Amino acid sequence: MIQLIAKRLGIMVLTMLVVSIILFLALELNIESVAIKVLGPYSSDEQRQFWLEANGYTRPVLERYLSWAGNFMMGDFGESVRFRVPVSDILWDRLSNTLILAAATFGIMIPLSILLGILSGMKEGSFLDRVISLICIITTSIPEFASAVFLSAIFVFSLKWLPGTSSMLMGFDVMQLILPAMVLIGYGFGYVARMTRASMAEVMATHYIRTAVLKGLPYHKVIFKHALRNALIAPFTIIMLQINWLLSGVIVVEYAFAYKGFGALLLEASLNNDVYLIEACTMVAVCAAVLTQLIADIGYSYLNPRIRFS
Amino acid sequence: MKNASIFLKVFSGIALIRESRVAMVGAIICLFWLFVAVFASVLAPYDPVSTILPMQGPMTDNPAGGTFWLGTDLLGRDILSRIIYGTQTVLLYAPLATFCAYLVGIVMGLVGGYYGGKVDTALSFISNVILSFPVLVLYILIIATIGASGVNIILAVTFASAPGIFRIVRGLTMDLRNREYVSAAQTRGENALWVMFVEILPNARGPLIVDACLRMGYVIITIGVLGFLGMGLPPPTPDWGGMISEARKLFLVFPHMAVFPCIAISSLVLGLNLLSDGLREISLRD
Amino acid sequence: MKKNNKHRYVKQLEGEVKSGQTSRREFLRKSVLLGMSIPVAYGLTGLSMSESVFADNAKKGGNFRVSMRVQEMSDPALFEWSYPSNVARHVIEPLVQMGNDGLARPKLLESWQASDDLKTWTLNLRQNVTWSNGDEFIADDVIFNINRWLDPKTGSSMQSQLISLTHEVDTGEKNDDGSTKMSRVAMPGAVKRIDKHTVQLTLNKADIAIPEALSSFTALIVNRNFTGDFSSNPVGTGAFELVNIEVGVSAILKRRADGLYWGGDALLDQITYVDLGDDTSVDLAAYVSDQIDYSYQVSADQVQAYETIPFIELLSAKSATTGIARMNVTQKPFDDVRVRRAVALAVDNERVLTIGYQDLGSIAENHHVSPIHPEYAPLPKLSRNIDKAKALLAQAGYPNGIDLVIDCSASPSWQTNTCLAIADQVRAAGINLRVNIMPGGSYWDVWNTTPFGLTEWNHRPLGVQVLNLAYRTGAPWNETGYANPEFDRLLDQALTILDAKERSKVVLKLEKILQDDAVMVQPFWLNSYSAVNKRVKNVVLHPSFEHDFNKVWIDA
Repeated sequence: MIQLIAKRLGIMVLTMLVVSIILFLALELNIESVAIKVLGPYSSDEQRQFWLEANGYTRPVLERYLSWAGNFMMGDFGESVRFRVPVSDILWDRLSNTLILAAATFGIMIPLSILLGILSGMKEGSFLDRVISLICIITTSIPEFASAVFLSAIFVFSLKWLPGTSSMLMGFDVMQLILPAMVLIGYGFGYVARMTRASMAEVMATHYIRTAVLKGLPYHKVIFKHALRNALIAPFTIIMLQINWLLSGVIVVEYAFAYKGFGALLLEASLNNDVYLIEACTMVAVCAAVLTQLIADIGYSYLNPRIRFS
Repeated sequence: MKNASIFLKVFSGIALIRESRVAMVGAIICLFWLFVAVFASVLAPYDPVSTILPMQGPMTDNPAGGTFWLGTDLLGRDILSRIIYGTQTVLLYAPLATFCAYLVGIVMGLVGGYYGGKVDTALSFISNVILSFPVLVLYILIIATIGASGVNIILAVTFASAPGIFRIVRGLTMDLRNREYVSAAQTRGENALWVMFVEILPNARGPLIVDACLRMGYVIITIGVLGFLGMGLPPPTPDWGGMISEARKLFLVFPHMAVFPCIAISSLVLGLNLLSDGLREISLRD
Repeated sequence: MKKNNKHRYVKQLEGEVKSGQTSRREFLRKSVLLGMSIPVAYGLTGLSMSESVFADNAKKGGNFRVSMRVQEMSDPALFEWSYPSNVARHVIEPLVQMGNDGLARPKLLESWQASDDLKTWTLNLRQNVTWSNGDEFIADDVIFNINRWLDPKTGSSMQSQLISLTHEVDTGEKNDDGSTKMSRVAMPGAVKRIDKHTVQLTLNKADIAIPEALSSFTALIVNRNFTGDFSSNPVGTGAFELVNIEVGVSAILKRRADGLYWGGDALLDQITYVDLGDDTSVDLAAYVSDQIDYSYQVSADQVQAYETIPFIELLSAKSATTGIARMNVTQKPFDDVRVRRAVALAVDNERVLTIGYQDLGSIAENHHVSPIHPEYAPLPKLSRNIDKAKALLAQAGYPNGIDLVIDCSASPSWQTNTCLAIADQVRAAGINLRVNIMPGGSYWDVWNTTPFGLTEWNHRPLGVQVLNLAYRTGAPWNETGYANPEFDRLLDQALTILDAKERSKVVLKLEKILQDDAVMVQPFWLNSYSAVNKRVKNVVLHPSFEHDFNKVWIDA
């Protein structure tokens, strides 16, 4: 088991390394373009030359990369071109905002989708199952930006129940969290529910469950004591992997509702060629994705008795 | 001879769809949009890029004759025509992009799964690196770097989707390479290429077709999202995602401008999802 | 208080007004520039003046929430955009401020005089102005700021606005190619302290627009002990104090606590600037849910949407802001004037105004001088001529049409809409124009060098100012590469003519040259729009979007 974890960790570190190299080469290999991005289009060649020298860009690529990587691990991400403040000043704030949104989303989505998955998987082919499955398919067909538009039209413009933007100007306001979370939950719950359903249905069809039912055990005991434990192993990994989906979905939602989160930051940085901000955001995003994959892998190995005790 | 057997397989595949009601509904929806795309020039009342009369509501009359069935957009272009021609855009780029991704993914998967060893480790590592990026983050980085155009979107989709396909194909290949007909072919002296593409690949088609439908739905959504974020196909190409993005700022007064493309894109993706679901149902029954 | 001597030229102007040679508006502008006080000037013309005053029932208090990009504010002399200047203007003030009527009003100055030859300007500072740190506002503050602006090491754009106070000197070093390295510095004695409240400027050539230069958004006056980072130590003379700034998020201004603002206390408790990004639909949603009261700008394509909100009032201002689809004459195929003329002939500017800007502006004539400029000279109306365009293209070697690309910025959306409208128009002449939309700020990487692009030009009070900045051979913002010695000669001539009517005779020739050479397709002049919640009073839209909320109050 420890061996497994160690091996996975090693791979994770290697992956991060490769990603950082690719990112660095893609964005900072051409030093002229870096100077233009930082100093702006009106800068003269002289100013750019001066800046390049002052910031160590005349050194060879390898040295620059190592110095950048070293700084990065110490938490020094450089200065944002667009905002003209250190990247770390903006990055962690925005990341925590996204975490709040993520917590709100997952807090509702996970219980909801697991419940629906169990209900539909328990009696595969039943009317309830068909209805839930249909709902799930429909909701995963409506892209987030489309549902953002629909829900805004209903709740902001027609009913006027909810605020139209979520910029949290006057401090934290839970009302502004509702629409973004609703859009994410609406799109995401279908997938997890269907995966849970599949897993549940599979478990319900196994011999030992059928035996338990035939033996005369009360139905609810069958479900809670036996079926769930096994049915929820696969969904656990799915849920961890949904974090990867969330990091993407959050970009659209934060953009649509002006929520000052990590996703909107990455988008803005990309559109405005804010080199250091792009690097930092991407590394953080990839790190989060890889970390959750790691936890999912380890968790699955631990929970699945076949693997744990092999 | 090979062609005949493939034709038979496809034909029986199509007949298979009738076994699942879900798949039927999905197939009908997809065929409907395909029909719209093919006959766009006949069906659309107007040219999708000419600016006629801005900001008309649905069912208003064009002073020069005819009707704007779904109204006009901000720049005066007929929305119905744009949706119809938008189908062409979507049904050109999405399948093309998916196909390219499959091309790359299948080759990678077959090679990795068949040969195993160092080749497989290397390919797996590369695809893991790419898969470690949250999908949209990857798209945004690529498009922001190389610019937004049809070709670039296809490139981005290929790059981002191939690893996932690689994984599936690799898994299937590793499973199938131990079958008897594979060893039979190897004994016969067929080369590796033959074994991979003639023996293994066709037998993996079931899960791949299911995945393809699903994946095409994702690609359509992705193209839509990129259009929504302003990184999609350049105007005045009628692109559903771009139409929704433009229409957002007028939602208060003219909701129809955003609602109709939303319905269009949702229904097409729904069709693909239903088809994929139905096909999976069928394959599970086998 | 100093006696307000009438400038000799003013007497001449008065005569011209009476004889009808000069419009009353032009008289107002000129006489105010020459130092006459505004009420007196208005009085002489009989035009009515509209000043913002506090109504009798004005209430104190309230938080005015404005949506605008919040950028960093470390050095006011280096502002590139007007956004940080708007925030800063409530804390630090300029010497002169342009009103919405296009007239220069003294702000930190009390008045000014110009010598007869327009080469010596005397600035009379306002008295009893106190900085927020207790210092008294004196001539040393003004001299410190002007010297800073003129110093090449600061790198401020004010240096080129006050260029007549500078000269080039030999630094003693050499450039890479062997030529002498020159540096532009202030002339010795150009800025002189006369007494505690008087500063004298000595120019090396006549310049009537000195007050206009001093009203620039980069000309906010900082304290004489300014050390380089304004936002960390925001000492100012203004009615508000900068309490907090978070780049990209918000900036908070509160009414000055010591109650010593020279113009009387502001009524607002607080102004909050919030950064909602570039997405205009977000602004609309914020208005509707009462999260903001005002925004920097409302895009024209949303005007109809805003008109449906009952508690919102739409504000508008005519301006000389425009977008020019300019062609770079040094690059193929635009080096052939026939191609350029063909493009211009294929476009109906009125139609582009309708499609690209919803008719919310006025038609332009492809020469960048606006009817609201004092020296504007009308030319015969342009009309679309597809046949002629096709003929010209054939002559130039493109009998079967031509493929072109125009670059434009993705936001604000009217720029994209305009390019699309132009593309739609030129198709009839066989010109297949692809619109390359560049997201974010990437258009500004290429605006100067692209062969064909749509560039936004902001409102400037004088037509010749723009011609000088954009079309003179070798000018820094000459994005078309246009180099016409005849044009330069006429432009030099125009810049020396003070009288607008006389100047317009020369400007007529300049306009004709630009039209004939088809350097650009300029479809329209924009009206500026914004929207304010009806409970907020005294908000007026400035044509250059300058913010001054000193007299704003909220009827809660």
